[in-house]
Amino acid sequence: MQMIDNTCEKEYSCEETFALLDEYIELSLTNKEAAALMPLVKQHIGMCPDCREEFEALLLAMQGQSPSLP
Amino acid sequence: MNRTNEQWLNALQGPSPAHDAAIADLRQILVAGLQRGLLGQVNTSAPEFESLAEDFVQEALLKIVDKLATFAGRSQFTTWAHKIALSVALTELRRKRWQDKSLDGIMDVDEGDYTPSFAADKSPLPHNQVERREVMARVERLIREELTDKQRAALTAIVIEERSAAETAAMLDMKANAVYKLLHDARLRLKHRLAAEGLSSAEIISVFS
Ligand SMILES: [Zn+2]
Repeated sequence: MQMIDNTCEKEYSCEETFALLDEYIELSLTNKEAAALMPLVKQHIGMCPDCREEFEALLLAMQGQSPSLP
Repeated sequence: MNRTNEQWLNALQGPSPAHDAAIADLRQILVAGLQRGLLGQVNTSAPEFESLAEDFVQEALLKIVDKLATFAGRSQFTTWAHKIALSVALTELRRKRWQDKSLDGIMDVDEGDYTPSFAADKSPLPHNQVERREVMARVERLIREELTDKQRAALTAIVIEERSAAETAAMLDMKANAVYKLLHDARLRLKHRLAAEGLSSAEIISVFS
């Protein structure tokens, strides 16, 4: 039910989310308000298990080498 | 050895000694990235992992070189490359997982006549059992009336059976990236229909909380 409640008229597709995922991750890692800047990415990740899995894996991969981030 | 985005792109674009060096470096970076990124998915310290990761990265490198022109430069090049490598790996792992699972399905015979219920997600105990049952019946009727067979099948597979989009797509003979769209349409239809019936989903949630 929560899922239906969280449904928006306009949502990103998996492709649109994937296209922005690297940018979104870097924003998340540099503590900027990634969710506020890219709310549709955040919304999709909340709803789509496959994209969430990719987000979490990328976050793990990036965190291990974060000292070199801008 | 840290390259700027421009240096990566230049090096990877054409055949040159710089190209080979960049590929070798990127390969190393991506294998290490998979090792960290897949920690929760597979046993990354198993001896088999290395060759698996190298296969994934090999496929990812082909994709990366092929898609160089689509890199928009809004992130570090290596972040973008990690994203592609992880996507290759996770897609493949999911495929393997559900292929194994579908074999399990053949081996195990399900007992009992458990009927999945859409409204029975992980909600806490209701205040009012009767009210809850009535609302559930209404929601299930809407699902029957409002959704296409395909939407219903996708909803069952993903929400109740917790299958991945890739697996659901294979079951329904459609592309994985179309599954999310199908579900979005389904959720939207239910939301509109609930609203039309004067039943807000927030209200329904409150019945279940
Ligand atoms: Zn998705």
